[in-house]
Amino acid sequence: MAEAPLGEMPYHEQDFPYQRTLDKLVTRREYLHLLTLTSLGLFLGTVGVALEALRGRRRDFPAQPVASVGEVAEGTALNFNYPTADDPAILVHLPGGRFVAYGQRCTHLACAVFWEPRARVLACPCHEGFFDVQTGLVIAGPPPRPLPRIELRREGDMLFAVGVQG
Amino acid sequence: MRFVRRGGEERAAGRVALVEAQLLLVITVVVLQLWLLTVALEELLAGHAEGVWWLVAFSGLGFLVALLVLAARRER
Repeated sequence: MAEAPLGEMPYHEQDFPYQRTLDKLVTRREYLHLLTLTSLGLFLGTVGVALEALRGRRRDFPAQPVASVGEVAEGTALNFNYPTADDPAILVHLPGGRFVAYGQRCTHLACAVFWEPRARVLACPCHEGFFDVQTGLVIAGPPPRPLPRIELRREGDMLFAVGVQG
Repeated sequence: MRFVRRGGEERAAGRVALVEAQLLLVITVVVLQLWLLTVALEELLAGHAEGVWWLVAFSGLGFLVALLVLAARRER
């Protein structure tokens, strides 16, 4: 089908001429093929996401001394920075003698979490998010994922941060 | 289903309906797979890895269904 001469076109088509004869029509069957390819792409994408989720997210960083064991009384916490000077972290000496450490940025909107000894949780004051101090998992509130856990190693009287999980 | 082999026009109309039904099925599958992918991403960001293989299995099943629907288009 021939296109109308420019002078006979409506005003809006003169401004934005559209050559319909140059248009490539996609048939229903071609569209069906395209959708099947999309289906394959979505499946492969889901496989990729699953592999990433199963791979874990452990990252090793150089060991860094955090504190001596006697420096943090049982039931108290100490703030430090790990793995870089711009990454706030919190070390908690749990009742019972065990030490745990987490990145201090709340996974909701990055407010600093603090140790709440009476409730034995890590609390985010901005939007009332609460994390289990034993595992770093979210107990309540808007945070979408656990706190990154900092792996600790004890050498004699010293505690070293040796990696970040999550 | 009534299928009368009379004029070529009626047969063509039947084929169009068949392809449109196939399209509808595959579009439904793709929308479901998109939803599964978002759930898998949510699980990844939440740090949960336990349930993701179920999502992969259902997404793969969806792709197989799409393939079967595509293969079914050939006339007998």
